[in-house]
Amino acid sequence: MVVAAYRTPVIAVLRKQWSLEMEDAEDLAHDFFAHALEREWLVRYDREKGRFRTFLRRCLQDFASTQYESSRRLKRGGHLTAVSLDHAGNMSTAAEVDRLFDQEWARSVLTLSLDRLREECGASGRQTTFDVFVAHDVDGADEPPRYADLAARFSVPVTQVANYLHWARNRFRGHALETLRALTTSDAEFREEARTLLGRDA
Amino acid sequence: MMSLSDAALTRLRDVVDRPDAGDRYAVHELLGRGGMGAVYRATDQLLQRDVALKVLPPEHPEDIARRLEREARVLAALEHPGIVAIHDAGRLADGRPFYVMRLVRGRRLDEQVRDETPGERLRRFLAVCDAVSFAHSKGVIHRDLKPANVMVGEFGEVLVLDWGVAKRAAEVAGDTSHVLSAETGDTGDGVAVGTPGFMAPEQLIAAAAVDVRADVFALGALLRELMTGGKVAAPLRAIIAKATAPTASDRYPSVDALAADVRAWLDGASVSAYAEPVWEKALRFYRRNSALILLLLAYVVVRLFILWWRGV
Repeated sequence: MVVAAYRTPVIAVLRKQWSLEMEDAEDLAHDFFAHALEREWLVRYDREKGRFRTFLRRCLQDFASTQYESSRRLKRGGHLTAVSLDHAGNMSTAAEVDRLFDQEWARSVLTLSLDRLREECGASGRQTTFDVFVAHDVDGADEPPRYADLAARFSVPVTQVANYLHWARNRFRGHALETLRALTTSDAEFREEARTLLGRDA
Repeated sequence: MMSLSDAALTRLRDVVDRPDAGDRYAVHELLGRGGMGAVYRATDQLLQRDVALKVLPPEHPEDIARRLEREARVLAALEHPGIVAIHDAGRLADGRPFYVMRLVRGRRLDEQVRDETPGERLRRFLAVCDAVSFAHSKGVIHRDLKPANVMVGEFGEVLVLDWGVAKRAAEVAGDTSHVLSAETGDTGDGVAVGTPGFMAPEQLIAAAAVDVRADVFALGALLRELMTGGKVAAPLRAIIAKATAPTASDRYPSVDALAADVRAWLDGASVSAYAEPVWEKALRFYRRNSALILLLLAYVVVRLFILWWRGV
């Protein structure tokens, strides 16, 4: 769950802060999580000292800095490196990177919640409900389609579109909060993370 | 795994955050958000009218839920034209506690009075005192009076809002919460009850010592705020100083006593908070009784003239 929720924000930070190409960022993110699991970094997290997300962000910073120093040493020695970090040329401020990390983390958590909803709908024979929800609140987020258009597209009554959306939104809310619960270790952290997830502390 | 666009992210955040008010209320735009929840404009579908829906966020802790329910009960006990009316309360379909109140359309008091005369400002202030005094008569202390919490409605009515940190006097006596900053508006136990600048000093020490004089302090600070921008007469300055005295025992003992002094000043009478010099007292006496004094003077002059005429 932790890797699934944090992989995308980690890649986004590596690309933004260290100017990596997508493929290199993915490789480095893989190395980061592999190291984290292998050396049990994540076990060292002390919830008294702050949010898990902040801790993981600090671990990533340390890891990327170490990689950066290694790559410089290898360059000086005439070796090629698999990943070349270019910290000096990057003009992103720490605040910008933090904002990006938060934004991508929220996107990741909500994507996981959407996946859970899809699985639930698939398992309970509610595929149309999921499709209506995606059509209205995901694909149509910019300019939601009219209920009548959705009703025609999915061959259901207009009132049924409202029912589908009502049910799916409730379940989606539940999945989002459950996902957040699974990613946090205390009530206080859960509430703080909920504020970030919902964009309230921006 | 699906990739969410920025628009979808915004939309899905709203899906999680937006209350599910069932069939009774259609929830519209967010009007404001504080530590104790969010207020949305909503339509009561049954009664076909717009209302304000106050609801906790989906991640609310249970102690905050109890506070919102208590706030609803406090509002229900305060039926007064100067206090926003509550229509409904309970738990929404998604389990969040809520209450529904009158939707106040108007302006904040401090914005409203910008173009008003000092007399008009003082009459608005007296309307606030009236509402707060009523609450005190019901044993409720507001504890967070400030310009942002007073609205002037579209019919000119003054309404005291946000009773989220209000307490019944009996509860305050046993309350161990301390008063910190009000930036968050949080009302959890042990945190944030009041707003710096409008908060009585005793609220910073221990809530157990807080009584109606904490509201007297806040009203004094509010009066100072309302009178900012013009020359404030000495008696009014004295009223403000007495209301905002650092020690509670030096303040007016009640909101009624504060209001009485303001009303006296408006009527040109003497003000209890102000030790008036003799010449000011004489001038005030003349101003209040100028017609009678001029009449008496005219009578004396005429009488003297008649005496002089007869003597000649």
